[in-house]
Amino acid sequence: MNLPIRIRLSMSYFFIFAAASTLLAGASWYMAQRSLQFELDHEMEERIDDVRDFVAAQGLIGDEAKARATIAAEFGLKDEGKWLQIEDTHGRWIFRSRHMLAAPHGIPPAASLPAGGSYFDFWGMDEPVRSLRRAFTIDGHVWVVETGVSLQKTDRVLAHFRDDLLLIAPMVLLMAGLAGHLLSRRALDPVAAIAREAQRIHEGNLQSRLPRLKTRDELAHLSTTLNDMLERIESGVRSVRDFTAHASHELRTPVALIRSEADLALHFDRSPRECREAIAVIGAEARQMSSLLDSLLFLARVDAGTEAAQLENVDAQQVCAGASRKWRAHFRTADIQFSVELPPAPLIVVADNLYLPRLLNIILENAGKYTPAGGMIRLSLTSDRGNRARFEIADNGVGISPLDQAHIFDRFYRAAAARATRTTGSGLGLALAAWIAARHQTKIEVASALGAGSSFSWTLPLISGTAGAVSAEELGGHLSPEQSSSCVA
Amino acid sequence: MRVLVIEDHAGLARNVARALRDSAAYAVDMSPDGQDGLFMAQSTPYDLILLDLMLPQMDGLAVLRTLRASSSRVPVLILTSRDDKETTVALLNAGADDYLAKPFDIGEMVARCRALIRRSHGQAAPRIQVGDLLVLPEQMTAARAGEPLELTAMEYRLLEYMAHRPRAVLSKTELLEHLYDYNWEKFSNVLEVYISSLRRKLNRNSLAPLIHTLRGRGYVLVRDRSSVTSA
Repeated sequence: MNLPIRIRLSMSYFFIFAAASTLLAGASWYMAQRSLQFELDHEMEERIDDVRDFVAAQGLIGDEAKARATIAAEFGLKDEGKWLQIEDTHGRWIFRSRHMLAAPHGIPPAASLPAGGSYFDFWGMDEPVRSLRRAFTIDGHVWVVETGVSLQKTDRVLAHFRDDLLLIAPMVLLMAGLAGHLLSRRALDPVAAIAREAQRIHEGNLQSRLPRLKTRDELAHLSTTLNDMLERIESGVRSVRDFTAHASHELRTPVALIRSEADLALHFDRSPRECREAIAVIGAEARQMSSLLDSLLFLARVDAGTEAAQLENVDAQQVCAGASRKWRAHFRTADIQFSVELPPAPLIVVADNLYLPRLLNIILENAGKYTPAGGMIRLSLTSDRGNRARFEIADNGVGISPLDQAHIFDRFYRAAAARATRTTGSGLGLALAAWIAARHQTKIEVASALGAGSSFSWTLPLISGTAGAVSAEELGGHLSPEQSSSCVA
Repeated sequence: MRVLVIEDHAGLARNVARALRDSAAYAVDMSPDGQDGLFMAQSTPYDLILLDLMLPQMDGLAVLRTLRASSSRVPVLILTSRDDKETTVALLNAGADDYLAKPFDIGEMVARCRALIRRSHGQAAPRIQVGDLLVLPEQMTAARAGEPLELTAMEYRLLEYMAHRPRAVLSKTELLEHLYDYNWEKFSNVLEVYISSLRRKLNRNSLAPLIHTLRGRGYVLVRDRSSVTSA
């Protein structure tokens, strides 16, 4: 049904009420009729008992003539206008009231009558009559009595009652319909209010909420649920906005620098040396920007789900050696002591051939940034507990405060110290590192204290040697669902 | 004029400061984060503040709101990397006077700074005229009775400041606060040297003196000295 709930509710309310009131009216009519009839039957029984007692008290058995006279004298007067006939054992008339004479009929023999008597309806003197026929025995003589009562009065009472019911019913139903309508409106008005409020909320005013209902009913629950959903949507939108704002800040600021550098060099008299300096600044900033763009694009692919780790057997010792070769010269220029501790034999781990070196590079670059000249950085690779390889990069640089440690893996987060001392770096490196670690089903552990340096470490499952090591195929199956889906596509 | 640049990107801050010094003859201070910047802004009577939005410690909008809450009337030019409508509206509503979206043209930035400073001194015309003295901030030059004056950058800075506030008595402290940045050695007699050389250049061809000394109170730039005491 496409009708609005309000109409449906009122209609069901109306129908249920109509059915209930019809049932109630029918039942009360039936009960009224029954109690009237019961009253009549009771009256007739009493009357028969009356006759029997009279017959017994007067000793009329056996003397037909006396019986006729006595009964006629007694009941002719008493039962004037009523229905009564009495027969003796032989089926002879003892008494018939005037009414009975007007519509004469016989009584079945006593033997065919049940003990409690039987009821009989007939039409006499232009009115419906109900009679009770019953036999009684006195001194071995069986007499049969039939007494009747006109139903005209009770029928009239019932007819009145029925007419009243029929008159009242439509009014009651009308009121029921109206009440149903009002009730459903009352019940649904808050829903309409919630819908109105919800319509008002759009992207621009996501911080607004639906009114909190004071009632503790389903509607209050509905509005609370909707508010919770709005909360989640808002936080999602906010994080997207924050990301966009950060990204645009990180991209626009270097462009602003490049532009201002060029403007200054062009618009003012600058010596060739100053011009070269300006060009060097522009070059450095452009390089910084392109690495930022790489990171941003990488993150975009991560978010789009198109980046997936291809886990295979990789020699961790080789990867670490490669990374240390790459960074050794850089650290020497920066006057940082760089020590590398690698195991003598290859250490095969389950990793992505491209991501693992990238992870090492990010952490090493980070260590280099926050370690001042004269400091030291140590890269070590060990076999941890026999079945996992442990990578650790430790420095004795500026360190990270406990407050910042909770956020360093957030996108665009840069610790206050980092911002104050350095302008390079976008705050994306560690976010990428965390993603790479997660793809390898591991986590980067950070141990650091302000001023004492930091240590970043993570472990990867080892292949060769110990039992219980996991194979690349086993891990690869459930590690990169994106990959399998892209194959299908 | 003395300007504060609150910008965390050191390279950009340096270039902005350089452009303001070279092409507007302003004294420029720099601050790399919001908290420090706010402290500087509250402790020094700057003529203009250039404020980046995304700052460490305290973001630019909070700095701006705090400044305005402390009823500071300094003009604020926002350097923002967001140029969407909502951000702009929010900024202007928070008390910003103008904004520039990064990346911006350095010439445009200087022009906006000049306009904001001009406006904050109740001046609408780009040239300042005090009697027969004409100051041209755009070219950083001045002329008296049609004769261009040969001024050093420091002399020009002093004259421009005084010309923006004609007839007002400017104490030595006030002049020092508005003419030198933090890195300057504050020897007050240096100011007297500049005042006297400026006087000499202004009074060339035996024209009536423009800069007057009010003993114990300061200096005033006015054509008719008698109007000072009543002002």
